[in-house]
Amino acid sequence: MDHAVIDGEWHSAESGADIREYISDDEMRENEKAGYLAGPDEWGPIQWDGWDRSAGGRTEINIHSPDITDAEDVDPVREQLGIDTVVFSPGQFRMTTIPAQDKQVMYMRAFNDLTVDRFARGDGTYYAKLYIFGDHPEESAEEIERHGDKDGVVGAMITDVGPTFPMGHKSYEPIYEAAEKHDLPIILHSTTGIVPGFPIAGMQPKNFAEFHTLGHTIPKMWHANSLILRGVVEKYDVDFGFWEGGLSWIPALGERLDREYLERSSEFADLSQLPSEYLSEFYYGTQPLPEEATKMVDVVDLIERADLEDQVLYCSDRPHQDFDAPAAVDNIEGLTDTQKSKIFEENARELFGI
Amino acid sequence: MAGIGSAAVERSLTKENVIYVDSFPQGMTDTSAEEPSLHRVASVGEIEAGEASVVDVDGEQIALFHVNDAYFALSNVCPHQGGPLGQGRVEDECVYCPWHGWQFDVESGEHVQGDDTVPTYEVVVEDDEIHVRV
Ligand code: FES
Repeated sequence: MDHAVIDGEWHSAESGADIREYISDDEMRENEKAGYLAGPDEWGPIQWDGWDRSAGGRTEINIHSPDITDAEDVDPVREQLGIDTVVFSPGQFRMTTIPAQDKQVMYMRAFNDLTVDRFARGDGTYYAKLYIFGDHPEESAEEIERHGDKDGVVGAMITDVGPTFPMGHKSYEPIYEAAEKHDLPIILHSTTGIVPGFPIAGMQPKNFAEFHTLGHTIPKMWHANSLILRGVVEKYDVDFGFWEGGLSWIPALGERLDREYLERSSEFADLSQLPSEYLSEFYYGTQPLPEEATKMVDVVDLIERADLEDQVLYCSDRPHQDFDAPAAVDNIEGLTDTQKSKIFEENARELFGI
Repeated sequence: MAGIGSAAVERSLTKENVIYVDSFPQGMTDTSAEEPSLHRVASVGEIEAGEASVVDVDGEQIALFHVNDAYFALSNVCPHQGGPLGQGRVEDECVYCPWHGWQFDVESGEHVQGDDTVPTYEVVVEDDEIHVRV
C-alpha cells in the first residue's frame, strides 16, 4: 500500500525540571529550582498521579520515558514502528495538577517554549501541538498568538479533564478566536492527574482499570455535547480533535443529542444540521482502537455509518502503555486501501496542514 | 482478532536481543539430527529458570521459555500488535506481553482471557541440547 504513516500523537516526555529551565524570569526560575524541598526534584510542582499503569510491572512501557527530550530521540522506535511523521503532543500535560494557580500560566508558557525549541521542527518528520489550559483562556489564547505561526506548530492540545466548565462555555471564546485566526485545530486529551474537576472528582475508582475505562471517554462526551449544544461549532471555524477516547462513544452521544434536539430544539443554539452531523465533522484519533474481540463494535461499519472516513487519524500514543502500533489499523479487516491511506496519512495532512 | 499481517508484523516487531541460529547442521549423528525440521537453538543451562531467549530460525522469531524445568517455544510475535513476547514477564506458566500485557499460556499459546493464540513449536531436549521443530 502506497502511503506514508503520520502519527497524530506521540508524547514528548519532559519532566517538571526540564520545563522549569524554560521559565523566562530568572528569579522565578531560581525560586522554582529551590522551592520544592520535599518532592522529587524532577517533578517540581507537577504532581505524580500515583497510578500503576503496568499491572504490577507486567508491561514495560514507561509513559515518561526519560530519554525523549528532543524530537530526534524517538527516531529509533519511530523507524521500528514504520512511522514516517510524528505530530507530538505535550508529554507533561499533568500540569493541571500544579496546585498554585498563580504558577500554572508561568509553567504553561515555559512548556510551550520548550516544545517549540525541542519538538516542533516543521521538517517533514516532526511537528508539535502547543499546550493550553481550559481554566486560563485569555493566557492560552496568548500562547496561540505567540507561537501559532511558528514552523512546526500545527495544533493546540487542551486537557479535557479538570476544567471548571465544559468547552461550549463562553469563557473559552478567546481560545477559539485565536485558534481560528491561526488556523490551528484544538485537540482534546484526557489526563490521569488528580484534578478537582469533572469527572475524576466523582469517579471514586477502585483501581487504574476502573478509572481508565471511563477517564478518557466521559470527558469527550461532556465537551462534544457542550460544543454542539451551545453552538461553538456554528460560531467558529475551528477544527476539534478528540484524542484517546477511541471511537465507540460517538454514536452513543449522537443518538442522545439528536433525541434531545428533536424534543427540545429551543434549548439548543441555532444549528444548521442535526447535532449528530457535527460529530461527523470533528476529528478523532484512532487510539485506542476497539479490539475485534469486543464484538459490540465494528470499526468499519462505524466509520461508514457515522461518515468518519475523512475524520479519523492514526495515533500511536507512544510512549504510553496503551499505545497502538500501525498494525492496529492494518489489522482491521474490511477497511479499504483508500480508507487506510486516509487514516494513516491524508486526514492528518488535512487537519494539521502538513 | 484475525491474524496479524506479515507487513504489520515487520513494521511493529521489536528486533532487539535476537540470537540468530543457523539451520540444523547436516550430517549430525544423533536422532534429532536426522529430523530436518529440528533446529538446535540453545543448550540446557543457557536460559535461567523463569527467563526466555529469542532465537531466529530461518527468519522466524521464536521465544524459548524455561519454566518449571521444561522448555516451551512460542512465536516471539504477539498476535495483538506484534509485541516481543520473549521480553515479557513470566508468571504462573504464562507470559505477559511487555507492550499491553496480554497473557498467554506458554504451553498452549492461548490467551488466558481472550480468543487469540500464539503459534507454539515442539521442543525436544536431547543430550542437554534444546531443539525446536520448525
Ligand atoms: S502487542 Fe502484545 S499485548 Fe499488544
